[in-house]
Order: sequence, then C-alpha cells, then structure tokens
Amino acid sequence: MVALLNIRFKQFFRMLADLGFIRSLIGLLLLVFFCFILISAIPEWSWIITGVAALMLLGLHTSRADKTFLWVSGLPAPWIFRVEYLLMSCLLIVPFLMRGRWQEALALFTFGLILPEINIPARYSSSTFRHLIAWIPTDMFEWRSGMRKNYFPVLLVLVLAILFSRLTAAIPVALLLFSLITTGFYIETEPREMLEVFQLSPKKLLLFKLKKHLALFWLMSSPLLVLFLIFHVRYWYVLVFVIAAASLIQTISIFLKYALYEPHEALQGNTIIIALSTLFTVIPLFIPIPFFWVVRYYRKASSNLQFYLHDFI
Amino acid sequence: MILFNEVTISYGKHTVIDRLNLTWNQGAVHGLVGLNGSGKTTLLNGVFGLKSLQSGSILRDGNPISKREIAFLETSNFFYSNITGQEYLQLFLNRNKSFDLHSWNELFQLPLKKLIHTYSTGMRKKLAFLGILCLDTPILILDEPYNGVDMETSQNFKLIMKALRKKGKTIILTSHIFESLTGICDSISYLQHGKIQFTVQEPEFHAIEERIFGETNLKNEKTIKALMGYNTDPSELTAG
Repeated sequence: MVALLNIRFKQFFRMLADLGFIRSLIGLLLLVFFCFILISAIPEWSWIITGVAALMLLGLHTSRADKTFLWVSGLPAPWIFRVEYLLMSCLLIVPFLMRGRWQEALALFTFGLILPEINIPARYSSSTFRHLIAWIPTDMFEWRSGMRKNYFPVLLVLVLAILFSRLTAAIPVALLLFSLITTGFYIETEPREMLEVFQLSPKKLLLFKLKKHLALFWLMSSPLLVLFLIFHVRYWYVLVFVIAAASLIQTISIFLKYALYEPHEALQGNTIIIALSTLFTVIPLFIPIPFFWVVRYYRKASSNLQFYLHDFI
Repeated sequence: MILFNEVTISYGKHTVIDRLNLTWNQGAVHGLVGLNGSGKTTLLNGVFGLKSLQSGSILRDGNPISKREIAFLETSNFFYSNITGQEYLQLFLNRNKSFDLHSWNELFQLPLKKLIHTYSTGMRKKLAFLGILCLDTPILILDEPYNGVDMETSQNFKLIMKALRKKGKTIILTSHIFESLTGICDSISYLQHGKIQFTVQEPEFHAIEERIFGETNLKNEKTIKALMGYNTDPSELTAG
C-alpha cells in the first residue's frame, strides 16, 4: 500500500512537472487560500460547500478507471481510496477546523471514509440511458464517452438542482458543477484518425468542437435555466454571470486539450488549470486571467493541431 | 505515380531515411520490407505527414502528396474509451454516406453495439480497417495489417486489397510475414540503412528472400549452432 501511495505521489509530481512546477505550486497555494477565504467569507454556505465537495468526490470515485485494477491486484483498495479521498478533503477539512466548523469537517471526513464502500456501476445500461446517449450527436464522442463514465454525478447534480430549485444558490451552483463535470470529458485525447476524420483546419475544428459542446451543454441545462427564471427572475444577472463563467471554463478546457494534444493521452494535469480557471472566474480581481488563457490556449491549440491537420482547409 | 525524390527523415541527429528514391505506380499493391528498426514506419509516417521530411519530396502526379488522399492503418490501434464500434465508425460514415457498413460488417462480424474496450486485438484491427475503408481514399497505407488477426480475416484483407486494386486504389503494405506479401503485392521494396536497396516485381519474388536473408541466415545459423552445441553442418539446419 505504501508503495502504491508512493507511485501516486510520483504520478502527481509528474503531472505538476508537465504543467510547470512554479505554476502548479502557485495554483495549489491559490486553491488552499481560496478554500480558506470561501469558508471564512461565507460561513452560511459551509454545508453547500461540504455537499459540493462530497459530490465531486463521489463523481471521482464513480468514474475512476483504476478501480478494477486495484480490486484485483490484491492491494487493500478501500484503504487506498480512503487515504486519497481524505488527503483531497484536507483542502476543506483543515479550513473548516480552523474556523470551528467541526460538524462540516466531521461530515466530510466521514464521507471520505465510507465513500470506497459505495459501489455504483461505472456505466449505466438501462434503456432510458441508452436512448439519452443515442440522442447525443455521433461526432460528439467526448460526450457519449463522458456521459457513460459520469452519468451518476451528472444525474445527481441535475436532480438535486431541480429538487432545491427554490433556493437561489442551488441552480447556479449546479450549473457550475455540471460545467466542471463536462470539462472532464476533454481530459482524454482521441486517436489521430478521430481527429483527422473531420477534415477541418485547426481553427475550424476548434470552433466546431466549441460550438457543438456549448450548444449541447446549454440545451441540457435549459430546464435549470427555466426553473431559475421562474423562481428567481429578479436575480437574472446571476444567471447571466453563471452562463458566461461556465462557457468560459468549458472553452478553456477544449482549447487546453488541443493545445497539449497528442494521440491517445490522458491529460490529467489539465484539471489543475481548469480548477484555477473556475476560481479565477469567480474572483473579480482575477477575471482577466481566464480570458487571457482562452486566447493563449486557442493559439497554442491552432499551432499544435497544424501538425496533424496541415492538409485540411 | 508516387515519386520519392531524395527523401531524408531524421530523429534529431539520427538519420533514419537517407536520400531515398523510389517510384510506385498507382493502382497497384506495393510491399515494403525491412528488418526491425529499418525505418519502414518512419517512411510511412513521412508519406502521411506525421513525420516532417528533412529534405526531398514525395509527389503524387507531380504534386506534393496530401493527407486528404491517404488512409493510414497504423500497426497499433488505439480507440477512445467508452464508445461503441458503431459510434467510432459513424464518424467515418459521416464522411462517406454511401459506405454500406451493415454489408461490410457481414464479412467481419464485429459486435458494433458493444464498447470497444471489450474487443479483442483482432477485432480492434478489423474495426480500424473498416474505418479507413470507409474513407475511400485513392491511397491506403497498411502498416502490419495482419498483426493479431485470425486466418480468415487475413484472407478477407487480401481479397479486399485485390478488389481495391481493381478499383484503381494504390496500397502500400508492410508485413513481417513474407508470404503474406508475395501473395498480393505487385512489387516489393527492401529498405535497409535508410535506402531502398532493391525493388522486385512479381515474377521475381521467389528470389527476394534469398537476396535479403541469404547472407544473414548463414551467419545466424553458425551462431545458433555454436550456442546449441551442434556439430552439424549449418546447411542441415536450413534444410529442416
């Protein structure tokens, strides 16, 4: 088990090295700082923050690809999961304890302990779900694959948002969470053939992917948008902000994927940039940074894809 | 006509393809052989634009060859996770609506509704092959297409290649199984030290093995004999 955790740490550091150590360290420090500020500034949201963190952990546990390997390898898989989830939860547990929010800290700690025992099948096979997948256009393979992997967190976020739609914060938070889940669809890179088959130039391909992604995302989110306008129309500007923020984060995730594209890779390091983009989007002082990243990664993606798509116009 | 003119491809300071010249007629099947590390895949990557040419040119009918004219089946086939065979092929069908997938799949019997990660190595090769067939390009590059497929599929691949040649397609084929090339190719070129050492046409195929392996076989037989402690004449090993 110690050897496996050692491997995990090495993987984590390799991921940081790929992104650049300085940038990653600043990012991690900002993440810790943000968690602390969030809990200090709006203590009445602490249970919502706990719930969101629990949902994110559940999503990670449901969709992780190494579960079978760890179960069959004879290693104490549940304890490996526990250690990993509790380490991640420390980002919130520590600030909770420092602020005397011991109930929330205990809840998150307990959730991290019991999460490995929650066994939700990685892919949903009911006919309803198959029909939902069939409805996604075939050229959006990222969504078909992503929905198969993440059906449970997506379903949970959407259902909870509808159930709690009378609360002002529920739908904006759900939209941001749904947005974060869909950015995960762009971590895995497709094989070369699936890139070339569109026969589009780099710029056209990027815009094609972005347009289709945002159209599907907002179509799927439309019931939530309608509910928010029904119950909280006076806060319409919150919705405008959430739509802009979620679109911005997703745009970065797509451009970032192709900026670092190599066939058949898992760009796990991108999650840090996405997390930072989300933080920067909600802190007014840092808002220019995500906009800068959109331009930067669009240029890098166009240049990187040129190698694969140079013959297409 | 596909013309390679003084093509050089390097990895850093290591030159893999060195001022290579070669001419391939269109509407034919061309085999490319060479020992491991001889640069076959590098050359094919150069043709497809996945490796930049350091110098020289590859022309088709006098114009630089374009990716739009080529479908490339690589040795190893990777797929996106959590998608079905049908979903993978649908991407290619969007480019060529006239491709009758249902009928083609009667040849290969792939479980297209299942997720690709449940497929065997051979099934994945067949799926990738169907994908590039669907593109209907004038040139097909098949790098080790027989790897991992069963005998029936190998036969199917050959029959399909013959039919494609009849339709005027140009096929560039590599294989480690020499017999799988002699049964289908119109020409076979031998790549060594970054250059095409020789190209032979169909009636001369019987001599190519002797030309390639004659010397190395003798040398290797002596080594094997020494290792195994035999005192027999090296030619007896060959006779077996």
